[in-house]
Amino acid sequence: MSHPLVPEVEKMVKNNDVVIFMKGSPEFPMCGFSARAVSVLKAAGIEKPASFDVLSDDDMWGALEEFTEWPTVPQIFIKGKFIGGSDIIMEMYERGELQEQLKG
Amino acid sequence: MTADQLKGRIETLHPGTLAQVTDLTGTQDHWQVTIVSQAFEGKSMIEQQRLVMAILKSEIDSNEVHALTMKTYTPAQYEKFGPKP
Repeated sequence: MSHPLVPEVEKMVKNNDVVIFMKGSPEFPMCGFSARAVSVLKAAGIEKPASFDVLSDDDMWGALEEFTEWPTVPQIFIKGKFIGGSDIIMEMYERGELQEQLKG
Repeated sequence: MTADQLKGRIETLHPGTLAQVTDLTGTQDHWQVTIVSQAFEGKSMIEQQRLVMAILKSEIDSNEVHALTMKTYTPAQYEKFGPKP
């Protein structure tokens, strides 16, 4: 039994090169981890990632959790692939891997 | 879960795995962990972290481990990107 909104999540991550599911928006993050992830993306040259505010929609949040089986937000997708949360994105940026993935 | 228990459990990942654990709050439920393991070879960072979460699943599910911040490295990645003394 899969969550009815999982296809919506899939559509969103397929149709956008970079997507961040977060608390709040890139302009007004509502959580420190989400804010940190947005600034890492910005540092890597992604000024305006597609974003979804999980606080605005519990159903989509539920679908996202089921889709990735990852318990925390933010969650970042690049080219349809789930990359991780704020720790992973930060570490990948420091290793230069994030920039590589955004290029490739 | 004590620091030694956590370290011991993580080091069951693969022979030769090294884990350094820090209790962030003194309450034995918020941990920062650095792990170097051959089990991580060929895996993305998210896959590496999922491996660690899998061996701690019961403690995470029961909330005995409430927060876990991880840095994961293969031996080669640690050589290249690990903290320098």
